[in-house]
Amino acid sequence: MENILEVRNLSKRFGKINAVNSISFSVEKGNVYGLLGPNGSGKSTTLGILLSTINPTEGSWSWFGQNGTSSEVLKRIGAIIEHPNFYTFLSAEKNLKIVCEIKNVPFTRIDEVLQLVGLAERKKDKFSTYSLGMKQRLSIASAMLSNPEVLILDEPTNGLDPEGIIQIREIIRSIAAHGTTILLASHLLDEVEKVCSHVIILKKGVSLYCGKVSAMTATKGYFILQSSNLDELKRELELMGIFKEIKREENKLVASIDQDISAEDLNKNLLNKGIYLSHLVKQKESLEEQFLELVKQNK
Amino acid sequence: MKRLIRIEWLKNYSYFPVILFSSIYFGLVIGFTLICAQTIPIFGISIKLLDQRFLDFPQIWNFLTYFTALLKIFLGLIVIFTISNEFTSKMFKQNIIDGLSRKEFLASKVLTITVLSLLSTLVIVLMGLILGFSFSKSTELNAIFKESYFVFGYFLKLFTFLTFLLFITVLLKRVVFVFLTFFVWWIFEVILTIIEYQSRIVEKFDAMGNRINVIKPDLITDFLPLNTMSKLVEEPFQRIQFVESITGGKFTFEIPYLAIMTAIAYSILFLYGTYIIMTKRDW
Repeated sequence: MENILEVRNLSKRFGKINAVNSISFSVEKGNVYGLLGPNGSGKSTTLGILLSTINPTEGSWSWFGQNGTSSEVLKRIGAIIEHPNFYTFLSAEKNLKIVCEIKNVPFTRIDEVLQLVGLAERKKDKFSTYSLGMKQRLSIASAMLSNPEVLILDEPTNGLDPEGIIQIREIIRSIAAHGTTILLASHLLDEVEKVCSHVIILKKGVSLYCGKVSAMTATKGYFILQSSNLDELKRELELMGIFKEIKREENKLVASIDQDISAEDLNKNLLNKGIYLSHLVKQKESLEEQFLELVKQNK
Repeated sequence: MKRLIRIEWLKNYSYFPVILFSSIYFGLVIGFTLICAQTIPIFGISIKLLDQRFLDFPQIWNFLTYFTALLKIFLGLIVIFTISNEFTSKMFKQNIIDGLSRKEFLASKVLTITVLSLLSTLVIVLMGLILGFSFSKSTELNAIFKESYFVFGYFLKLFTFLTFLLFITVLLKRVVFVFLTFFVWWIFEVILTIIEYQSRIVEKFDAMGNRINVIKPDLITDFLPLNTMSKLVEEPFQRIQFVESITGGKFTFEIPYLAIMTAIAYSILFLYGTYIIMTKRDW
């Protein structure tokens, strides 16, 4: 797979604070990456460095195999950082004309991208009259002007209402479906889980994990079981010897799988032992649980 | 270059402060020169508002450029407001992310400054020619072009002034801080100049206590930025006084080469400083 971005030992210190501490990761073409971490974990600083607006203290990176970030490289990237930044006194159309001139893109693209984000009818209106959701969509339109090979989004749904969040996610999904590589920074686990195939986890400027979301932990998942006699159920499960841990939570049992078994087989086995289940669910740990697990390990 | 001009045009042509201050500026400049030529009737005698000597070629250039340059703060306001807006609304950062290099950004601002200075110079040339051809005693080519240095000096004065404001605006970002700093710097230069003048000037007196001679050394404070700019176009009254003085010496105009070099050096320094700030700072 072709690497679009490679980051090597990147560090940034603001005075005594290590905002980014020697992080390394790579971004492969065509995937959707989540840059995940709590507030203050160095996400925005990292993106700022990669977009040349912040000078790194140490480290190197390359876009499309070229070292650093030249303005030519930036023309091939679409990026949305923090709040939508536009000239408030200009209309959407005029704002996008400026971006077209900067990126050397013909003005005919303006209507196409405004169509993509559903703002074509409001293009003559001043930016200052837009709602936050519309501003955010205009940012995406602006970033898409040059048909970028990579789209960088920093907290794109921050501060939006549920409808706005859904709209933005739909747009991101449709862009990803066209094969555009996306790097999405977020502190919202479920957002990353819904949109991303890969994840890079940052905590206090250190990268904890970089890889597929599905391969994040080696655990095989767990069962949630319910029966009229929980003690007996627990004893039987322990006897089977294929579970790492069996915990009682209220009126349910949670059994972490050690040797994989299908729900069907488990149900059959228990039936043979004379135990009738009223509830049986096999689940993988959610990203949130895996994330918390990772952060805990690295304390 | 055309691309940068188009970008600047799109950014600025409907920005309110640009429209406001450029109308005020060009309105005042044109209005001022037109008023200069008016005669007003007082007790039945029409009196020209302006001394005839100022309307003659070649000194009309000295006069016009000196007085209209006093209005340059309005051009300065255009620069301060547009540049400040780029930084306070984070558009500089956005432009960089979109793929405009820092050099291109700076170049686009230098272009704007150049266009503003050129436009203003062009207006002055036009007004000078109109006034001169209407009122000057002599309209020989020689007289018209003899002191055309002032047109260049005026352009350089505006250009240097605007690069100075560009630099402090990029440094401080906010309009209020820029104003404060500019005025504090102005007062600072005035005070330094007075101190140097008082301590270095030598006056000679005769037995009766009358001043007979003043030895004025080259002042170091003349090399401060604002003083340099005012040296480019000196006030025109001295040449009138000269003619009227008892000594009867004739005023000879000299091109202030030293001030020209210093002003160019300052412009380069301010632009370089601006570039350094744009590259070294985290945005």
